[in-house]
Amino acid sequence: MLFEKIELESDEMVIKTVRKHWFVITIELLTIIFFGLMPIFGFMIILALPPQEMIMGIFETQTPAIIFGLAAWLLMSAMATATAWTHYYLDLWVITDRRIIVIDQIGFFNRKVSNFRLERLQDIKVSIRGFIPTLLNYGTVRAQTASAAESNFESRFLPDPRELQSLIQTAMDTRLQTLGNNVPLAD
Amino acid sequence: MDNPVAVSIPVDLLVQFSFLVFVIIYVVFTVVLYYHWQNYSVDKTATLQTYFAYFIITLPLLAIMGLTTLII
Repeated sequence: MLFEKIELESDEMVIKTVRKHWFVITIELLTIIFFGLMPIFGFMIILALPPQEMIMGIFETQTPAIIFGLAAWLLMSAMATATAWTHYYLDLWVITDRRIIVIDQIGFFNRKVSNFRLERLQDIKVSIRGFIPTLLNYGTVRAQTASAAESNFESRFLPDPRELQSLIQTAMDTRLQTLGNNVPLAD
Repeated sequence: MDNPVAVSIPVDLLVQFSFLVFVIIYVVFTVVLYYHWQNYSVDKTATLQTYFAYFIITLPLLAIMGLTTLII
């Protein structure tokens, strides 16, 4: 499992894990389901039309081949659904009392894991743009760290970004209080 | 001018070949999917539910494809 691979510090505590808003995966899944059901809509349209000798002949003689094609199409759709779900579920932010771990699951063979220590965090910005994001309360969270090499990171479609901003801010303040004046210098 | 050569492939051969290709794609995809969930998931319950949903949907479809290949 992931946390075993990340190797959290001995007394490090996970505060929250955040995934993209449910609206994102819902739209993706509905699109795949729509395309998956397209051949069935096609057959319904053909059957609704006046019977044509040639088409009915194909249906009668090639029934197994048509069923095979339909099953193959649905199998591909199921695999596309599994892909979308995997990318949604494995793409997440893990906020601990020490750091933020940002995991970008871009594709099956494209995965980016970034660690940002809370004491290095300088600024965190939130933006919610558009009618649907405002209505459903999701948006983009951008954070800037003191590290020169990886000064910025951002994620889109995060749910309740203001609450997330506040949570990170609180965790950062607590971390700074814990460390006192022993804040490590930036790279 | 030469006459174009018409090549006809029997439907049963085409379906058998397609089935073989689909099985290979399915096996490779399933291995990749399994690897990702096994290594990167943070929740064992969600992982098991995903495996269950995936196999309960895809295996019957693969079985239908196999049966129609035999019928053809």
